Amino acid sequence: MKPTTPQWIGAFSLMLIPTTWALDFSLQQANTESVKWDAWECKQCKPEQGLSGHFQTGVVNAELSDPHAANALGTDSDGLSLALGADLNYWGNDDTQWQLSANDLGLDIAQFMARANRAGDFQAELRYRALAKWDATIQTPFRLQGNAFYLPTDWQRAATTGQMTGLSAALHPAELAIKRDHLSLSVDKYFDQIRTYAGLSQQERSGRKRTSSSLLTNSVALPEQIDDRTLSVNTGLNVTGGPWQVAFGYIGSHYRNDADAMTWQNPYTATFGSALMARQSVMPDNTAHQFQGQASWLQGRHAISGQLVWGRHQQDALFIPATINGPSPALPAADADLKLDKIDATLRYRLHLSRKASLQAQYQYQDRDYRNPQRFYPQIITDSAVSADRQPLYPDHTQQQAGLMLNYRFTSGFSSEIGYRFRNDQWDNQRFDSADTHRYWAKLRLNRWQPLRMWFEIAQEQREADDLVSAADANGTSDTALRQYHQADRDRIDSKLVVQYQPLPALSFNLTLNGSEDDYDDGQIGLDEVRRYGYDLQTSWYQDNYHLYAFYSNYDIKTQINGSNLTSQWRALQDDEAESLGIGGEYTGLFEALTLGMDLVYADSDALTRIEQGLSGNYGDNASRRTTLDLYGRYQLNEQSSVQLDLLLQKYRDSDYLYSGFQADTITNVLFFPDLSHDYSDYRLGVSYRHDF
Amino acid sequence: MSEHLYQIKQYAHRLCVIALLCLIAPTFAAWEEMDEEEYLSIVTSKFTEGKYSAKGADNCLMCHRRSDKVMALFAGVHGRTGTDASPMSPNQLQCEACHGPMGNHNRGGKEPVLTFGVDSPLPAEAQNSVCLSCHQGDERLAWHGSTHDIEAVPCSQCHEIHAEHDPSRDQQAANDNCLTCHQQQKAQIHQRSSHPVRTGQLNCTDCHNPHGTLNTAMLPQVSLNDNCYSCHADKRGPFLWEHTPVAEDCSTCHDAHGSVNEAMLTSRLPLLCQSCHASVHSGTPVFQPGQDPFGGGRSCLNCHNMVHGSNHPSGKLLQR
Repeated sequence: MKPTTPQWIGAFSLMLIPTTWALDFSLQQANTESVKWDAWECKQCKPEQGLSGHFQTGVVNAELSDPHAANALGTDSDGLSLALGADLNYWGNDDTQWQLSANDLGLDIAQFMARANRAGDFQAELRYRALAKWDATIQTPFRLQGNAFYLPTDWQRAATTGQMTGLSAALHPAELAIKRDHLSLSVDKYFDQIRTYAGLSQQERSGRKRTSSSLLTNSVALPEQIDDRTLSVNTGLNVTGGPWQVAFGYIGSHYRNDADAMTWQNPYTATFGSALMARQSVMPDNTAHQFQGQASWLQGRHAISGQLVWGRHQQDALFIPATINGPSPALPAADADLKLDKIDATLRYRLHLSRKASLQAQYQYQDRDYRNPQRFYPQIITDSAVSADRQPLYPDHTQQQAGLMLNYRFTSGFSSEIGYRFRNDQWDNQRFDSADTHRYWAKLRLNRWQPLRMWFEIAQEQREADDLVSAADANGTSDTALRQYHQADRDRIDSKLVVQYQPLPALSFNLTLNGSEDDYDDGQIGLDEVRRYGYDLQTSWYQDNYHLYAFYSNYDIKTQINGSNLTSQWRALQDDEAESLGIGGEYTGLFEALTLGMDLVYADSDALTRIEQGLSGNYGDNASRRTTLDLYGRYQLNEQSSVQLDLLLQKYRDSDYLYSGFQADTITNVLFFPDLSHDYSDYRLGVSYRHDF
Repeated sequence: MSEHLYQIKQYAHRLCVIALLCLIAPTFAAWEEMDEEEYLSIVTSKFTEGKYSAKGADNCLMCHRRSDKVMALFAGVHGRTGTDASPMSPNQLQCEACHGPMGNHNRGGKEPVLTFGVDSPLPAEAQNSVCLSCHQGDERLAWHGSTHDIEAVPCSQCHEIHAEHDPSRDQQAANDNCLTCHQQQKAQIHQRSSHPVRTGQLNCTDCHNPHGTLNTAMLPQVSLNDNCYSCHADKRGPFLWEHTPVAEDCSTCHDAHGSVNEAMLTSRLPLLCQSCHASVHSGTPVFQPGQDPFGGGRSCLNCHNMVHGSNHPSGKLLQR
């Protein structure tokens, strides 16, 4: 096309007009002087009114041999359950939108949302989510009374688990699962350019999870009862004013645990005579406050944004006595009176050097400062043996990061990025006082040729820790050659290549290659090396009435750890492999009324562990294999009604060398749950009726 | 037999045609073949001149009303006419609010307008400037300079404007949006342990704000630990006896996207603990798991159960 005069204006604008540095086509920049608003009626605009969407009602029949299957099936109820769903939308005359959605109401995993909003005026939303995680059905000899664990009255204490004659007879089942109910209500109100908001949410957890406790050298596994709630509030306002935006907000959160301790009857022969009971702390009530201010300013070639956040975590739950058998040593206070103050600040500046190049600088500051009383607490070995008093030491931490990156677009669909980031950490009461980290990276993005897109990125990082100090507390001193990996010197390199090929609008291929290496070069003891390599393949084929997809991923992680018990050194090698394979698709319009769909996923995680110290030994199986099949068929009865039949099947098997094949008395001084492994093939069958409006 | 051969030939022929199409098939519309500079020059000059249509959307719909895709706009929020917050309000620029001034586009449709999508010749940043005209503030305050901004992800890659339902509002579709690019995370959610994204209990957006934040990894909370505490407030503490790496960074031991180990641990017990503890007691190698408390049950956690911190007065060793 031959350039016309207006195009020269455009070309000139592209080069010179400041707002085009960032190619800004926003409404704020629109030249509307010539618009004759009186003629803009839009007679052909006919927005939908009234009700649309659908509701569905149905029943599911689950067959569970293992409650772990409920993670996939959404319910742990054997047999029939009602399941309701909806996605309804109603437009009122004043353009107020009413929405209601529900998914699997009646099952253990369910969601519900009701919302009313009018754009630029208000929004109110009520949301409910039922979440759950099922672990296993365990066998325990303890009688459960909340978080008090008692043994049968005829229990015969013994020195080892193998000598506990009444153990087998006393074992009875208990389910380890935690269910969460999350309810939230939020309201937004707009006043011209100001949006105010307030929200309230509560999360309740109930159920039991696996935990342990110990007395001197003996340990027991316990199904800890979880009964707690977290109440959160948030409120604030956002103001927009042309090129700038400002936001202020407050977030408050209170965690309340209905339990204040766990107590359990000692099943072992009491080492020190009277130690018949034991008590353990649980997660304490705590509160968090956070005030934040954010702002951004965008003008032509400049974009600046930043935030300043102040927060406090505090915890003053009453202490439980140090002992339960006999007199407790005096404590310095009734509660810990703990406070952690947090300051976070970020400043980001982006400059468009030209229409093709931009420079971004960013600075981040993070400070964690414990403001706790300095007290000494008596440490007990057992209830009747008190060792020295100890003072808690708190890990104050300050982190600063500064980075610079340059992006350059060579031409349409061909761009690159280079960047550098410096990070400094300052710690108190840790093995190192400080560390400096340098990270460099480069990216190349190419989508110049329409069917083919690819990008490549590579990054290198070096961390150097300074001022190694001796362990702050001599209790349990580690090998001096140990370098803890969260602080130790480390060289890291990671890279990624992504290739997307779309030869036809309906057909696409995607290949991703990932790799990274962490080398802890200074430490002789501790984590030494981690290498991760993996690739993903994905393809899909979309047509109007059907689509197909397939994916495969394979990841390999090799880890080397050097260990020491001060007298000798050893080496551990971990070789982990994870792969997943999925195929599926959907066909619509079979016999003009039938839709058929399928999703099949196979996932395999396999972890090998080998220990070497002259001799070598391989740990046992640590693996999981899962096959999940979801089949469905939907028959359209008429334009508004349909029935659907679903089959969700999961075949699952896992093992862990820590407990596979275990009996309660496998380890002499650990009274554990018998085998927690899973091996099941369970399914859920559902039928539902759907009505569309 | 000959019929069988004929069928094979037919299949081979189709395969060749498909392969040829794969190599040469152009997927762009008329002006999308235009040189980028030329395209930008035209749309910029139109935008600068402000040559809007005489009658707004009525002009556009004279031709485009036959397109279901176009008319689907009126099923969604962007097609409302009763509130000035909608582009289709009589007091707004209607179709041209997003697609720019019509200019001479109505004379055969050869003159380009602003278009959206991954395949649009309009750079993502320019596309997004249109959306951000109205969708500023709130969760998008920190869009500029965020990862998705820098990576030139257009809003339309995840959002559908001409539709009753924006796919990003649907949980499964929203996760698919993310996982199409984030393949490594897609692989991780299928591993032995992961947050329940795979089973639909959680969304990627429960932990990330794809519109950008001023925090690490586009987390909505100010730090990684604060992000975790929003669901796991029981781990928040502070505790009388802190486990220092835990208090600093949950990702020291956990990979939130998934792991081949239980509890999304980055390594297995007892080796995870032995990566940082090498005393006479803690550094003892386990050759045969299942024989003693180090190598069986919960390993180190059999006794040191309070690894996230203890509030017991005598809990220094995280045992009580």
